[in-house]
Amino acid sequence: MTPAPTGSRIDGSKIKGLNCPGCGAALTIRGFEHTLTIVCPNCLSILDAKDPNFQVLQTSRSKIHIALMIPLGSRGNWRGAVYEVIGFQQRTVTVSGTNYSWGEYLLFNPYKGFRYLTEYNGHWNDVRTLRALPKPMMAIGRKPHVFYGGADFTHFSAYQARTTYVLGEFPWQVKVGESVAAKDYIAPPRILSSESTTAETTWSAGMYVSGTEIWQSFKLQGAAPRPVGVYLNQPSPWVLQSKEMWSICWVFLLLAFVVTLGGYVFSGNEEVFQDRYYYMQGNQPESSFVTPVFELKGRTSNVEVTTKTDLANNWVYLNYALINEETGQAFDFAREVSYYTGRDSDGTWTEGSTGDTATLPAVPSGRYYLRVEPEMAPNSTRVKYEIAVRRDVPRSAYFWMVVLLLTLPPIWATFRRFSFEGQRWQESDYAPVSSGSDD
Amino acid sequence: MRHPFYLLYAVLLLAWMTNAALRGSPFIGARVNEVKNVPKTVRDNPGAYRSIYLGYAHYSGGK
Amino acid sequence: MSERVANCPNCGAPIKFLWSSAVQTTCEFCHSILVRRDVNLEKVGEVADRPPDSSPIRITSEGIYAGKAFVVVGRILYEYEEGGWNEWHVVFSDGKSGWISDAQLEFDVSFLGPAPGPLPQAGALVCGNQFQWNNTVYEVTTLTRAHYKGVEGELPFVCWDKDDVLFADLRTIDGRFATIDYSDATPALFLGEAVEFDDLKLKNLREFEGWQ
Repeated sequence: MTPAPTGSRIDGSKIKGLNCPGCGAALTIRGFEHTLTIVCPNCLSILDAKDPNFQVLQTSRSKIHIALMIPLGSRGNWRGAVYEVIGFQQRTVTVSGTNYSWGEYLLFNPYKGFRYLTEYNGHWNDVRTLRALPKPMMAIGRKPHVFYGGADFTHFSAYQARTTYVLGEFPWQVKVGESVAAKDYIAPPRILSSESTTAETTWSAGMYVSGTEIWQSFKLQGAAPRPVGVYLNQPSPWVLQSKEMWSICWVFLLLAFVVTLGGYVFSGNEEVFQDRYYYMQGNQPESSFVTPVFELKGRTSNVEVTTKTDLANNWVYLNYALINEETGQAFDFAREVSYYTGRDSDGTWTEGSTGDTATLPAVPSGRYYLRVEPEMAPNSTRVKYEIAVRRDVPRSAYFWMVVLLLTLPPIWATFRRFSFEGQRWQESDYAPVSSGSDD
Repeated sequence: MRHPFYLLYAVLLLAWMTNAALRGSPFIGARVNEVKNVPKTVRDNPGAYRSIYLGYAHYSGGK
Repeated sequence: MSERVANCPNCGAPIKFLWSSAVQTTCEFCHSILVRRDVNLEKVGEVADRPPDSSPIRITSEGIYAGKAFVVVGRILYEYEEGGWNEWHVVFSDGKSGWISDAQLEFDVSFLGPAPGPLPQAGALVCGNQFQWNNTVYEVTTLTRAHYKGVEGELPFVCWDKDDVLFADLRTIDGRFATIDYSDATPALFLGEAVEFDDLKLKNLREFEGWQ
């Protein structure tokens, strides 16, 4: 007896072609023997791929076709292997009467297996079945969470997901209208999802990916649609941003403090002139006078002119000019000093101050005098006032200005970070209910 | 480094502050007008100098 | 008494054994199922319609697991209501026998071992049941009633009838895997882990049309 050679009696490695029993359209099976159900692209009937006659399992009630962003049959280099898109499923959840649908593209490689690319509002995820069991953790004072792969995943939502559209092939039974109880747990950019039927619970693990990467891998036309809103496991661009900004901020605040401290220690802060004057507003045609000349030694620095008065319920207006005797350069400024006080039902009140300080910037060294021109309301009592001039005065105002300006950007980044997270959690089961809701 | 701009900004602020500590700053301080070439005769005749701040009308009154 | 070459009692074709401890094998040419009894091979049945399947592994594929090289010598094809899977019988260079399960291209490696504790009765199991073995919690994830759809190559036991049998799959937090096989009166426990295709460094695999 002649031995019969085996040949390829098991032949699950050839692409099969067949015709839809419903409408006769030609179909191609790309998933080899893994495919259990296939959808006719023409009449959308769901067929049993294991049945020799491709029995119709479910006919489509609606003939509306959904345009796929990644067409069936597309191949792309993804995560180290070539994958082919062989199936598509649209799933929908209904919240407060509104339907939210997302798409799931089934990717196949005959060696590496299956994975999914899910899409919602321009946000993409790369999802694979998880063959391990995340560990539920104690949730005291926080949302429920599970632990897996070294990370904590926080519960985001629980919902019923139902299949609303299918196309292509699947290695399991699919039916439009079928629904599963799903739960999502997030650790951005990762996500864990569980799907439960009465018989079993399956876990899958996903990673947020950019649409651009997918478009490049699958060489798709045009550009990926722009993501709208914040997706549950979308990584926040603000976490690292704000952390880095604050680091820079602290370093520079420290440096500014050191420089300011140095300023207090090393500045000259010397008084170069002081004298006392009296003024009485009369009908004099000219009230101006000049002080004796004094010297400002050292580098160009600030100069502080202090006026101390004995005002009581009155004001004095002083035109000042600090004039360099040699160069003729003058610093022209005016100060109003006013002080009022009284009693009323709340007690004693005061307004203004009897003293005033003016700081002039960048006055070069040299010999200077002050030209002073006072003015008061007519019939005022005589005012006694002392003028003092100091140079190189340390001021904390410069430091506080830097504190303000330096912290504004990181504060803004932190605000954006919280706002981003707020948007993220708005879509969850934990969103604060808006007070205007009337459901 | 995500924030070359913020770093630059911080450096500039520190530079400004150091300069202010050394020389003062026109932004923090009295409003001053620089005038050039004031003649030496002002010392003998202060009334000849005309300040731009002359004749300031002032609200007088209490609370 | 390990014979490396014998003749098929049905068709006379030469049978080469890849594994010295094989209890059962199949004849490539006439598709008879042969069981080794002492020195001779006895035909006990036929592999009728071995259904087509698309596992990338085939007999004579080689790979590496846990640092040790193995050869694929046999397989069992299971079928259940919602599909099927392959249990590939692999033999390591030290003669040890193991299994690589391929279910929709998800691979689990496991080894028959003594149960670290009493195994539950088939009827008592539900998904979610937990067991503590070797300081790890195993949870039942899938319960499948399946039957043999086909056999091929060398197996460590006699296996060719087609009754429905319960299989319980259990998993852990760190990806370990266990399966309880209720084919015999005494349930058998296999312990192992889930692996990725790349981890097994498989060679001499099947080729698929359109995939190079």
